[in-house]
Amino acid sequence: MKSISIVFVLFVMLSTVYTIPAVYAEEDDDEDDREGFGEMKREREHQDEGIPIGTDIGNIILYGTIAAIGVSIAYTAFKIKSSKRKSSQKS
Amino acid sequence: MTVKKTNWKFAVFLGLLCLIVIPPTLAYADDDDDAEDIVESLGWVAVGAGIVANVPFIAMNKIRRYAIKTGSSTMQVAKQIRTVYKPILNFHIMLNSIGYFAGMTHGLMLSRHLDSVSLSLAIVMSVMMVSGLLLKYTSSRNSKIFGKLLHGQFGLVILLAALVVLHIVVGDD
Repeated sequence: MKSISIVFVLFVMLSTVYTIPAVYAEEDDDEDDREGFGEMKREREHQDEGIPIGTDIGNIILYGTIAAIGVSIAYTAFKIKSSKRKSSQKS
Repeated sequence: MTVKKTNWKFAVFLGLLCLIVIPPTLAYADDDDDAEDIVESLGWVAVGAGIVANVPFIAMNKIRRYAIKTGSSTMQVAKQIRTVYKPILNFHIMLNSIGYFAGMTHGLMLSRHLDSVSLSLAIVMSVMMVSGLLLKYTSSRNSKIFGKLLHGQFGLVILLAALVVLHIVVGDD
């Protein structure tokens, strides 16, 4: 019971710590927009960095990763099931 | 014994809290280049912790399996490795946890520039972490086997390494 409450407190603290900076980051975005052309240009420059979500390569990487994880989870489940079937057939 | 255990849990809780609270506070203390440098350093901490935690552990496991496979002459090596297995496993868990939280904090602090490689990396890291926790903390036989098989999948390890390299290359550009 005690460990469950510790885990719960940890979870609440983690969500608080991660949510508050995200809210501030959102506010910073608005400030950048208000500051004028220079800041907007800087924002666009940052958006050009990396492989953004929504582009063709970005989608391939993201969906490829999710598919790979799904396949490995399915393969693991299949392996466990087949080994269980084998052991039940032996006995 | 129970008091000791509670104290230990409290110390871990406090340590984790400091690790999670201090980096964001530093990052948001000033909106200048120093803050961005600190957040970037967290990413390198995650990469370093991952390499130090995993390369020796995987190498040790491979050597142990090879020693058992080849037979009697190398059996002594396998026995010696077995004696140090537990401390090395704890080291692996500890460093990987530090690397995971450092990496996640780095990602959340730079979430404004989120791209598909970073998101994929976060997903793979979380899957590996959850399977590791499943392996360590569940008592059910089925979930233990599931955790073991999923955590040790070579494909996922390769995918994680490839995404880390891609993330560094894309981030440097």
